[in-house]
Amino acid sequence: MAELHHAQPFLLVALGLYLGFGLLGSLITRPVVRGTEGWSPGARHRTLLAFGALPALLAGLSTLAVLLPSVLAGLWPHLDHCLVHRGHVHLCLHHPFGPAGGWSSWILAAGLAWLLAVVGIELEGWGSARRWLATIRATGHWDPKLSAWVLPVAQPLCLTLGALRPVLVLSRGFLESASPAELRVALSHERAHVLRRDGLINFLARLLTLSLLPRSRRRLLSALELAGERSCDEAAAAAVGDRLQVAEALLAMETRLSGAPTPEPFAVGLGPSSVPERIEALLRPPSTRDPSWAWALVFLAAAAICLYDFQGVHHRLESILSLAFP
Amino acid sequence: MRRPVHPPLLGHLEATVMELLWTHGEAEAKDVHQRLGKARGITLNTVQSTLKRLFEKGLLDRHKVSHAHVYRPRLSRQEFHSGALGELISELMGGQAEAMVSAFVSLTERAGPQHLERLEKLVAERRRALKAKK
Repeated sequence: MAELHHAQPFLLVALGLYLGFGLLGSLITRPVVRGTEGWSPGARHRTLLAFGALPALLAGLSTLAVLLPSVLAGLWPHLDHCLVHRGHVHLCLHHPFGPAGGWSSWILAAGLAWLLAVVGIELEGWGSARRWLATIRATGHWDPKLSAWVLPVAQPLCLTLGALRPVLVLSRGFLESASPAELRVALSHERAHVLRRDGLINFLARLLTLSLLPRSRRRLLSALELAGERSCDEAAAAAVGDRLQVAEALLAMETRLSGAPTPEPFAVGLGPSSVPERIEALLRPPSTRDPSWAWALVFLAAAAICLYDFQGVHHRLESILSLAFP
Repeated sequence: MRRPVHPPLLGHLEATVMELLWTHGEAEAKDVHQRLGKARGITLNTVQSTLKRLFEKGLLDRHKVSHAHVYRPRLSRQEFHSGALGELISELMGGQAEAMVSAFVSLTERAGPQHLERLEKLVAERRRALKAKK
């Protein structure tokens, strides 16, 4: 219990940093999403994913930097510098931190409850996918030639389902209505999703971006999804050797789905499609712009400074806390 | 009478028991254990609790003959599968668990007729231009 009491300030710091970096990230999500628009889809996907992970990564790194002096003092007691902090709030695993307990425990409990609730909501999707896969195995049949499950339904479906072991799912309606060329494009596109592990990446992206403000999070996830789809369109174009054929297949499928009945309770929730953007991108020459390495360098430099100057990070955070807990 | 609202997710043993009852019509726990339990190395108790669970999920009906319950499916195999499939399609097209689904073309977002018309023209023009080049 005593260890938990001593660890409480660090958990509070980690939560505060996570939410703080999330707020900062929310402020620059729009320019980042716009600034990466002309990039190649692969580079954009990588960069947006890294950007989405930044609040969690930076909070983790900063917390590690704040924790290091205590860890070092535990290993080599002569490095313990707690006496320097007499009369000053300090973050230490070995000596109690002034404001621990009381209302700060309530803040921490509320923060952790929020985090558990939002993670729980995301995990519900995992459960749905498991249930769907069980239904697909019970009601569909496995086509070894297509390496896909085929469902006996009239709706034109062609999708990849699952995170860890994604499977291709097609419907009889799609197989009956798609031309051989469209089928080849759609299968190449979906196989690219399987190879790229997009289900898992999308799931992780949703978890990592939880600290962003809802609107910024929606914007980022939507741009990330579009970049993922465009990457798979390019993979399909490389497989069939014709970008226009991919555009034609997309258009045919969109037209087919526009005519398909939509379940009543959900019809009102339909949003704008990303298909026009994907088709227009396929009609343009492919973009090869990839400045993502520059962003990676900036992040690595920030991480290196943070860890190299861990004492500085530790003391600056203590100074900020001293203002809050005089 | 219990009514199955949603076709529920069945575990492996539950699915096997349902298959057996769909094939044989009705059976007591003892019969089910004789057909499945011995080969699988499971006890009569496990079979009884599986049957009870399926009854509670609304998938089985039961009536008493002497001291034993006799179970029979409430839905045919086809009814159960079409219900499950209908729910799957509704949920997929309703955009649930979207992170887990990567569709070739989104199931929940539509481009609208104006966009479609414009895109059809653009694609057709590009195809014509490519043919003319050749």
